[in-house]
Amino acid sequence: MATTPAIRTEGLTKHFGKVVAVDHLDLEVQPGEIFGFLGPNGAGKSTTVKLLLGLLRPTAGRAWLDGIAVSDVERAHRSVSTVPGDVALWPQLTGAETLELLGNLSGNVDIPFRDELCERFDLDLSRRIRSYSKGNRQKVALVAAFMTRPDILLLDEPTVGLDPLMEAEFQALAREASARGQTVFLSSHLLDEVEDLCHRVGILRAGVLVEVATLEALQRLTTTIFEATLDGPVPSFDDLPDVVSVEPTDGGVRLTVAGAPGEVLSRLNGAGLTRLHAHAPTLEQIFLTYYETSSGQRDAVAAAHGVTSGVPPSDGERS
Amino acid sequence: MTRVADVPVPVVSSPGSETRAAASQRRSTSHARRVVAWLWIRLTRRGALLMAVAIAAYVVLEVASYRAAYPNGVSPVQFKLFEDNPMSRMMQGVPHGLDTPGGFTVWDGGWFMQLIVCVWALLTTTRLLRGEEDAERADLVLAGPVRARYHTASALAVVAGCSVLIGAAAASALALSGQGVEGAVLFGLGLAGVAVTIAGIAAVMCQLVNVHRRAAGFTALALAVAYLLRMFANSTDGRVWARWTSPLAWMDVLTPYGEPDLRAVIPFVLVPLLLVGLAVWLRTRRDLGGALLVTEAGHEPHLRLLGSPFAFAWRSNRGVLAGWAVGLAALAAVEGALVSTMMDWLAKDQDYQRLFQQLGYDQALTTLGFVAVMAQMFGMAIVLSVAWRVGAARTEEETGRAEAMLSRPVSRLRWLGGHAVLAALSGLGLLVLTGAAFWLGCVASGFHDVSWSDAMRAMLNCLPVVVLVGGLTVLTFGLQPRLTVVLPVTLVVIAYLATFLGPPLSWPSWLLDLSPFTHLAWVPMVPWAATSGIVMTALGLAMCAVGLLAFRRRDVIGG
Repeated sequence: MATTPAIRTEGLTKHFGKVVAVDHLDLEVQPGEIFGFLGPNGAGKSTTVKLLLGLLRPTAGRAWLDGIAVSDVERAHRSVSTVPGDVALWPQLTGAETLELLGNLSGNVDIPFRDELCERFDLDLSRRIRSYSKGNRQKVALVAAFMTRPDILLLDEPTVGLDPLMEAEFQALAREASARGQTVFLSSHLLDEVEDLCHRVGILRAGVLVEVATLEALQRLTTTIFEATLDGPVPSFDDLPDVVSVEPTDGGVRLTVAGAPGEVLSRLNGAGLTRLHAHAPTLEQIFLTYYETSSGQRDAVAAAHGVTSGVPPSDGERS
Repeated sequence: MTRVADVPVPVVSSPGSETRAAASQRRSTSHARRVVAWLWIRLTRRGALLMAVAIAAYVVLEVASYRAAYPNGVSPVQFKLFEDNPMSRMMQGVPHGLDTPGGFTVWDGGWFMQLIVCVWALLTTTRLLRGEEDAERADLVLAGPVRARYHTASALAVVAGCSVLIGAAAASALALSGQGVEGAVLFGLGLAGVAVTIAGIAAVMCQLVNVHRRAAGFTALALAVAYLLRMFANSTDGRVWARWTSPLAWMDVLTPYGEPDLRAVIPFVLVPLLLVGLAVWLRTRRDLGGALLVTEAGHEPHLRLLGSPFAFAWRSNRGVLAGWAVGLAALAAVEGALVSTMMDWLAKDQDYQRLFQQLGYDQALTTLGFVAVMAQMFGMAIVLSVAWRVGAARTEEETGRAEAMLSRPVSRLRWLGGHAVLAALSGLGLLVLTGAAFWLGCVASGFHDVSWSDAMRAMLNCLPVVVLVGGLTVLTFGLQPRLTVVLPVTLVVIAYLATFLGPPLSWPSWLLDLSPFTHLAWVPMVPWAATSGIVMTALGLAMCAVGLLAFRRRDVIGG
């Protein structure tokens, strides 16, 4: 590969006592990419971010930011900014003082851009951090992360506590950053956010990276759920490979369908369809596909969707 | 159905309402109150038990050291010596009942035990009433069916209960080592009473100002004033009326093992009740997270000292340093002003001098020897301040704020090294300031036998111990961050006390040699002990270096 990956990890592993928080993580994020790091609480997302920042020492494995080993924090952090999962700031400082301090520590603050950010986030800098709401503290952390225009942004659930308007502002900022060639590593448990924003998505489960997929592959993976009320008996769908699951319900059937739904709909229609409700799977259901099914089942699902080819071989599945 | 209160009894028979009834019982105020009280106990019990054991051990050691040093009891001459000595009167109090180990313990160690339990009460109360609020954990508790009034009152009740436990430990230790039960009970009562009084002052401060550290600072100031008032009250017999003004002097009125004045029980009981009542009332007058004397209006930014981790560490800790500086300077000036009185008194009588020599206190016979003894006492306090200063780095880490620094281009070495350098400079500055204040106190009282250089050399003699303990604290931070302050402070207090309690108990010399204070020469009476000074400094620097490296190799961990 010609360019140095913005983020690279090699067998990155972290144990806390007997608990395995991150297990042999192999990851490459390219410059300019918005990479979504998806997983439920406790999957090891924050641990990974802290490992990338050198705040935690890996039990095994290595990691690089812009080709610089993460243990060399003085060099590696020159091109990195972060929004931590748990924003902790000095309660006695005002917003302005906090940004001054953090800016001095990072260096290279783009002052007009900082002022623009404060305006876009509608942030009152004259108050003390102590009196800020959770959302406002989050905004201070976001402004501090973006104002130096870093090469790499490591964002750990950055929209926690933001209202939808501010969330949209954040998404716009992330896109602008990516367009300028900045790399955004976005850890999140919100599928929507990741779907809207990211070029590629990694799914982490219990410290193990179970999937890395491009957004298209992920969208192909996402299925549609039909809840049908029928007058007649439930027809058979056994011969349709796109029907992933069939559950009888009170007076009808619930189907999980990948791919084109034409044939399914005509069969339902033939069975006396009286009411049809279709919806996309929730985050829980996507996670279920990855988490709860055994690896054999997951392979079957993946094969049914024809997505195995969409998974880069270097970041292949482990289980 | 005799124990209705213990069992959730369903009122209606349908399964749904059964659950609701049980749930509503769980949400009941009485249940929530029990949970809150249990939470306070969880948050205090370890510290309180530790204090109880430490105080009991201190009492046992005092009794044993008395029996070793005065097998025939304190003679009337010795008694007179202690009674007339202005320094011991003001520091320790006017002696009573020194013919018994109990009376000796109350006089010799009682003042220090009072200070220890007061510091415990101060730290515990401000942690419960402000620390929990600063960390926004109190929000969660007060979201339950519990009033703020109960929240505050129950915390203070638990602190009071712990104080009684500590007092009872002291009383039991005295009684079980064969001292009179009445004196033991009075001493225990006094210890518990003074602890609850300080807890009450701390509780009021917690309502007046916000931020844990600020409330603790103001309470410490009140404690320092109480100590100075007690010194004033005990300085001559004509001022004993002033004892009523200082909680630390009520024990002197109570005089366990002397001729007890039971009127002292009144302030011990009444003042804490009033303070607690006031604090609880004030709590109902303010918002959660708010304070009565501080408004959180915005202000123009102060952008100085925000340029580097080092500058910011100075900015955020200078207030605490100023507190230490004012307190130590005031105390040193008072002690300095007393040197001439002390020397006049010693010169007056040959008997006393002979006795001093017999007791092995000969270094305190000369002016310069006396200065040396005082300097080492201040040195110990400064050593403690340095351990706490390094502990500020741990607080930054514990609260997660260190991450905001360390996730920027700031190396661990630069960050912790900055804190270590500031701790060392603060220690040095406090040593010089205390020496200067002591000298000024001497000069102001018209006494010119102590030169500027004597005072400075006496204080700077303690520098190796400052470096040693500072290094130990950095090492602890690097290896066992959760013990950063606790371990060094405990070791320093034990080591300092060992130099007084060890010799009369004929502790083996290798044990005494473990205490760094053993290795300090009595400067300016004798020259600086260069070898031990250099060894301790080198050891401190080495531990600091190892601590810095260990911190680089470990995880940054929160609370």
